[in-house]
Amino acid sequence: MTPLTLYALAGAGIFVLGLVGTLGRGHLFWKVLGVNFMGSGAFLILMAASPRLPGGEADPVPQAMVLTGIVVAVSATALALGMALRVAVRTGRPYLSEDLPTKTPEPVEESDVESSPDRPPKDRAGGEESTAH
Amino acid sequence: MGIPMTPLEWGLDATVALLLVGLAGRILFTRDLFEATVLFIAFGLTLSLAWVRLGAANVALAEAALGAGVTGALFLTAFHRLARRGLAHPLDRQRYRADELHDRSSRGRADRGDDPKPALLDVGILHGPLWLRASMALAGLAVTGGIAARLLTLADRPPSLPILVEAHLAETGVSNPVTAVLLNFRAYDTLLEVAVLVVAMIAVGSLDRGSRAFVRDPEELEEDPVLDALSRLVVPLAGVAAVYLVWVGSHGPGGAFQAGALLAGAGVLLVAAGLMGPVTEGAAPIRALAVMGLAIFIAVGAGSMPWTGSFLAYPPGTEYGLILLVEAVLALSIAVVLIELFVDVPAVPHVDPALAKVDPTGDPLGRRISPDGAVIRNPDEER
Repeated sequence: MTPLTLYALAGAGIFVLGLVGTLGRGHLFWKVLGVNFMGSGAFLILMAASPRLPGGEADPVPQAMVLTGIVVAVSATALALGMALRVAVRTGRPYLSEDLPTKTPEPVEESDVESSPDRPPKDRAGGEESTAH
Repeated sequence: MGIPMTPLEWGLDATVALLLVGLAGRILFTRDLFEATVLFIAFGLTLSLAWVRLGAANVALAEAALGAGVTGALFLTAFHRLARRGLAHPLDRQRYRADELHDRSSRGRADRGDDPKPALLDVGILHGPLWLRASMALAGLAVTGGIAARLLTLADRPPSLPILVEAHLAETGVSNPVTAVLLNFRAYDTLLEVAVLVVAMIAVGSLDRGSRAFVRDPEELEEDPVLDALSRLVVPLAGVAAVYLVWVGSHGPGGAFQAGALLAGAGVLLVAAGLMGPVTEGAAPIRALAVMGLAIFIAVGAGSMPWTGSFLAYPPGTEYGLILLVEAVLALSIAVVLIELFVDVPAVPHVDPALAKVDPTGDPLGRRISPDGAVIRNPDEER
C-alpha cells in the first residue's frame, strides 16, 4: 500500500461519514457540513487514485477539477447556509419539518409555555406554510 | 509519489489521513455546533496538508483559503446568527452566553435565567432507535468497504492525461499545467464555474431582500482594537500576495482562484473588524465588479473567434497576455463575490410583517427584547 492508497481510502471514509451525517443528522447545518465532507472525500479519491507520472506532481487535470469543485462547494455552502438560516428563523428551528422529533429525546420543560391571545396561532413545525406569503 | 518513502514520511501521511477521518467523524457526530464549526476549519487546513503531500500545491492553496478560510467564516457567522437568536443547541447557547457575559455583562446577566430550550436538541441518528443507528452504521461500513475494495483493486493504469498536458503545454502560453488546464484546455469548466459563483451570489442576495434596513446590528460591528490593528497589518500584505499569486499562476502554484480567495479573506477580515461596511448597499458598482470577470472571460472567448474559429480558444501568440488579463479580472471578481456571499449569508432573514406587527421589536421568535437587550420570556413560545 502506498500513501496514495492511504489517502484514497481516507477519502472513501470521509465520503461515507459525510453521507451518514447528511442523511442521519436532523440539524440543517450538519447536513451542509455532511455534503461538504462528501465533496472533500470525493476530491481526495479523485486526486489520490488518478494515475500520475513517476516521481511527478499530481495529474493537472484532476487538480483543476478539484479546484473548480472547491469553488463550487463554497458557493453551494453559502447558499445552503443562507436557506438553513432562513428556515431556522421562520420556523424557529434549524430543522426541516419532517425531521422534527415526534418524541423529544430528553425531558422537556414546558412550564413557560402558555397561549397568548394577542398573537395569531402559527404552526412552527410547518416551515413551508409559514414561509409562503 | 514514486520517490522512496522514509518512515517519517509514512508516519506523516498516516497521521494526516487518520486525522482527516477522525476529524470528519467528530464533526459529524458531536452535539456541539460550535465545536463542529471550529473543527471544520481544522479539517480544511489538514486537508490542505494532504494536498501538499499528494503533490497538488495549487489545490492546497485553494483549500486553505476557500475550504478552510471562507467556508469556515461562513459557518462561524451562520452559527453566530443562529446562537444569537437562541436557535442553536443548548450547549452552543451556554457557550454563547458565556461569551456574552464576557462582552456585554448586562445582557448576559439578564439572560442567565433563560433555560436552554430542550426542544432544540438535535434529532436524527444520534437519537434514533438502536436498530436504526446500527443499520446506518452497517450500511456506512458496507459502502466504505465497497469503495475501498474497488480502490485497492484498481489496476495500475498508465497515466494518459498528464502526458497529453505535458505534450501540449508549450502551446498554452503558460507553464503551470494546472493553469493551462483551467484557462486553456478546459476553459469552459472555469467559465461555468465563475457563472456558478455569480449565480450563487445573486441567489444568496435575494434570499433576504428587504431585510437590510435593520439586519446589520451595529453592535456586531463594534470596534475591536486587536482585530482592527491586525487587519490594518494583514490586509495590505494579502493584497500584495494576491497580485503575486495571479502573476505566479502562469508558471507556478497560484492563479485567479487562490488570489481571489486571499483577497476575499482580507475583505472578510475588514468586514469583521468593522473597517468595511456592508458592501451590498450602493450595489451597482459592486455588482458590476462581481460580474466583470465573467463578462471579460466571455468577451475574450468570443472576441477571438474570428481568428480561431472556436469559442474560448486564444489566437496563437496572445495566450499569455489574454490568460493573465482574464486571471487578473477573475481574481478581483471572485474576491467580490466571496465577500458578498459572506456578507449576505449571515444577514438575518426577512421578518414576517405579521410577526413584526404583534412584536414591535421584530424579533422573529416573537420574544420581546427589553431596552437593555435582555430577552423577555414570551409566553407564546410553544414547546
